[in-house]
Amino acid sequence: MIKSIIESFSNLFAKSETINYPYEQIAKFKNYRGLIEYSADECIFCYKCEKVCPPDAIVFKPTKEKNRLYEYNPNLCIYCGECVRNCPKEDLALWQSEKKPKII
Amino acid sequence: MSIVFSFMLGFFAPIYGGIFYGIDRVLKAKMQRRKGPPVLQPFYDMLKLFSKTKFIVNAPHTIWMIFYFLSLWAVVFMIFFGGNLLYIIFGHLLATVFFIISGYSVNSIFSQLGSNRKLLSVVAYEPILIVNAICIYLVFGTFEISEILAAPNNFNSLVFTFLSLLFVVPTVLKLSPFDASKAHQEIVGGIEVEFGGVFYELVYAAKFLEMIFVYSFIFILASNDYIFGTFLVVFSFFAVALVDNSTARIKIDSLLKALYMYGFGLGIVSIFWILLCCI
Amino acid sequence: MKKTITIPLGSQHISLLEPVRFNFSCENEKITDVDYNVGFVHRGIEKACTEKFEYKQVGYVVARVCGLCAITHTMAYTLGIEHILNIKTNKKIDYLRILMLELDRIHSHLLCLAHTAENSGFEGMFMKIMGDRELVMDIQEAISGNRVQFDFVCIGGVNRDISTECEKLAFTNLALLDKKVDDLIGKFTSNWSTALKYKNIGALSYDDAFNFNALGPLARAAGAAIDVRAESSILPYKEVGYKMILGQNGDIYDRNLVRLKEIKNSILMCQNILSGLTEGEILVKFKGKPNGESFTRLEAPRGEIFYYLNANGTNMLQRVRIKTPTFSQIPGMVEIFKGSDYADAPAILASFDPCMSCTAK
Repeated sequence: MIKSIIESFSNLFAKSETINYPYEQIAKFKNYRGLIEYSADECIFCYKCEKVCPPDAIVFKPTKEKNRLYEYNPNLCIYCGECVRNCPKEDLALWQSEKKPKII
Repeated sequence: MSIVFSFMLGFFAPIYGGIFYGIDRVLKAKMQRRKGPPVLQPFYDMLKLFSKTKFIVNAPHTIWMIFYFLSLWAVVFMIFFGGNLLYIIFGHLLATVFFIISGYSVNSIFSQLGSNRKLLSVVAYEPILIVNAICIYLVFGTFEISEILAAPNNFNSLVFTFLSLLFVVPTVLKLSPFDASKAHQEIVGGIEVEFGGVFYELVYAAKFLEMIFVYSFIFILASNDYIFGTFLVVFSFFAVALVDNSTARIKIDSLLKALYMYGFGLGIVSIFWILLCCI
Repeated sequence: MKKTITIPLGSQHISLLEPVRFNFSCENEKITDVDYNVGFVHRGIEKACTEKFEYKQVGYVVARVCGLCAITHTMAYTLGIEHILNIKTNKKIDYLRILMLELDRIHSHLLCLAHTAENSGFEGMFMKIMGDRELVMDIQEAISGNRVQFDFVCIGGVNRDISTECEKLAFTNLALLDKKVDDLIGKFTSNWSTALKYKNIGALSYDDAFNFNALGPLARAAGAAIDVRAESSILPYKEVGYKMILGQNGDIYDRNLVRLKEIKNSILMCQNILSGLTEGEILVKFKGKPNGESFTRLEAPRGEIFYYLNANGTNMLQRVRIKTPTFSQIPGMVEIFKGSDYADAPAILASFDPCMSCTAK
């Protein structure tokens, strides 16, 4: 008990461990897993990413024109990065950024 | 003190009590290395609680609680008008009994357990308050607060009274380790659990009044030396917050044992100390 | 006239992290009988694993069974499916897996300790431990890139290698944490109020530990040497400095101490792994579809976790059966509750470290 009292007292003069969040940003680590980004020019439309995605966040939607359209739902995404690992043109067609999804 | 000033002190007690409570919360946050809420948080809470639906579980429940708040406020008025110490103690007891009855009047098991435990904690701290009132009487020869505050400082003879009152402060304010009557994690706040909206705000404001009640007891120990009295209050405020931060909640029967052994024991020691060494 | 009162604890209660319902029949505040219900968060994960998701995706699905032992669930599944697919992983992969498992154990134990402190009304300690826990969370976040759901383990290896920066961060944070745990041991053992709240409260005897099938820290606190890390050689625990830690009385106080000492042991293991890590492949290529069945046992922070997998040569698994440690602890829990005070019930509950989402799946 004495130890805890001494620590509580010394904590009065210590820096707080929490931050004033919305005004101060949280420090992110390098290689943080963020949004999946896609480049239509490089994509070869093998649909591997669609197939491996566990929550079906990546879907190739058929359009009126012949080729299919890439659609990514960041709210479904679990940021596991499985799609990127399975992509034959990793880092060119599909890559994982460090961005956060927009808060609506 | 002029009557107007006393009246103002009593009337605005819930307001500046709220500021003390806010300071208490910031202090506790600092002790836990958190940023903590702003000092005016109790008033933001108040605004929010006012905007909520006025839900009443049953009429007696709320009415007893309003009695509790009003009689506690009356006790605070009595303190600032320099009333009789014994009347104040029994007035506070009456207020607490109202609160306990209010807890018993609903069917919620948590509220009833809270009432049980509150009753036991009253049984534990009330004798200590009375023994200490006797000590104050032995030293100053009066129960009137206005006369005590005019008397010369005689803190040497009241050292043990002060120590024994330190046991009462966390019990009345329901702070750890003596907070079994509130027991947030066990009985979800005890009696407080069934109040909502404006009525909870009254319970919340009653906490500020309880704070003023117990700390005024400590303040009068320094009699006419107001600076020393303030120091005593600040010291006990710190000590109680520190102990609150570094202890777990003990069970109600351990609470009874601890208060009777140390609190009441120190009160008896105080009587002997005054009778044998100081007079 | 009824002589007992019924106190409900749950399904929503301040002292609970997850939904579980206990109905205590009490005489005054003495508990005489307990009725319980754990199935509030059933999500049908076992069924989903066999019908909706392919075997490569199931690892990410079972990680969502539990937030705290996410790594352990994926690990157990991956080890099972690797056994079926006959994949041999190299030393580096094994070590990286143990590293994450032990980091997971550290932060799970710290959460349990914090929760036990909070439930016995010790808010200062709660805040302190949660603050210290950030050190481990930071290491995990730096290594895996995610904060809660790490998705670090995949079939055939791990998803990420450790960079030198991560290694440095891990070393500094672990050294810091080691000191803090020593400090915590001091604070847990020399406090008058915690002694009243923890000593001889909620004690599970050595015999009862076996009778009620207690697992994990719960059994070890009672003196029963039950630990999959010592029994199985599926992961090379003996090489990294594993040591069995046993208590004596099996009360809350002993459980806390066992957890604290295990954290110290885990820190030592992590340091050993980090200093002995070699260069090498982190992913083994594999081909084919699973055919066969496997049983996997693994030591989760809370005790033994059991996975049964059955595959028939298609992409879909035929059966995924998960048995979580909390499931085995409930009988013991109910037995301990009988005869103790209601005032102790939240602390006892927290000291069991129950994970209801795991149990209901």
